[in-house]
Amino acid sequence: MSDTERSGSIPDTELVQRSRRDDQSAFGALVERYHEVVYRLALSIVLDTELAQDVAQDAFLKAFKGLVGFRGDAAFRTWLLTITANEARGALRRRGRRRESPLDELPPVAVGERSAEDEAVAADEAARARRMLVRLPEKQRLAVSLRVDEGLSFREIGEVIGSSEGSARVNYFHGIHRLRELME
Amino acid sequence: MNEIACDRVAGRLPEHVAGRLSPAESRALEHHLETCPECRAQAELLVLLRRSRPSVPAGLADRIRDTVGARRRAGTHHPWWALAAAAVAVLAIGVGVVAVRREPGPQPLPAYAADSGTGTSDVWLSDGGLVAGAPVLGGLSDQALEQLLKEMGQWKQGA
Repeated sequence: MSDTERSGSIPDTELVQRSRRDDQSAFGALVERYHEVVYRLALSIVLDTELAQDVAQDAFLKAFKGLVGFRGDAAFRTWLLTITANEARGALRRRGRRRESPLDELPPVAVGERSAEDEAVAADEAARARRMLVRLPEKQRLAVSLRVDEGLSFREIGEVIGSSEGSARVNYFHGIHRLRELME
Repeated sequence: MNEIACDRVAGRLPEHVAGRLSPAESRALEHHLETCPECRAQAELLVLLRRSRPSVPAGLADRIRDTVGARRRAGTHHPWWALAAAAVAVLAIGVGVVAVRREPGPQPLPAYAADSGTGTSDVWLSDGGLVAGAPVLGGLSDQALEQLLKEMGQWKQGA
């Protein structure tokens, strides 16, 4: 069950059906619901904020055009994220290079309710953790970010990264283990 | 805590740090974390990752909606029912063409084929209406064959 269905709002399946009937507002709702996870997944792969936005846009365009063939065998979110991952890899190939370590581009860090000093220390540590995450091999990085940032199950992660559920689990725990080593 | 408990806790930590667990399950995990430095260190790492989730550029959703809307207005997208209707129309036209079209029936043999002494079951016609195949040649006399080869320019006396 998706977060959306748990929260009681319009289920994805209904929005998808309406979108297939050319209901633009329904597809707009899907964009609103998933543009953040799509963008962050794209960013996890291309490691470039501008390119990640282009990839997110292209992924939604492809999904829109592909709704005709979407049979609902997988959840819409998983299907959309699989498209996103493919688009991101394609964008990297077209660009002809893969940015290995974009340490100059720190992601913005959310601000919590702490004292300014504590907040600064925590923000530094959080930003460092994110930089270390970028150093992981792609499948480990995606497994960790999809599990921690987006709350996907290992089965869903496996579908997105093109592996089995068990392999997704292994990639996740290897990634966490490696991250802890890098943070020490 | 034993390893099995740690494994189960580790698998649920992402939900725990995201606040997705029930209060009871969350309390159980917290209790485990108080007594297990290994799992606590992992939980602290996940908290750091959650805090550094990349923010999404403002206006991205609008940009995507605008782009998809423009593509839709440009007519590059067809709703599924339109495609289905088009497919049915094409199928109907195809069925109609097949139904109207008649397969050509048996054609009368040219005189030279009929004279060869072979039955119609042994003779078939090429696209140009000519008789093709060995059954016709097989019915010719030696003299007729010799004449035919001479005309084809391949006959050599005594060969």
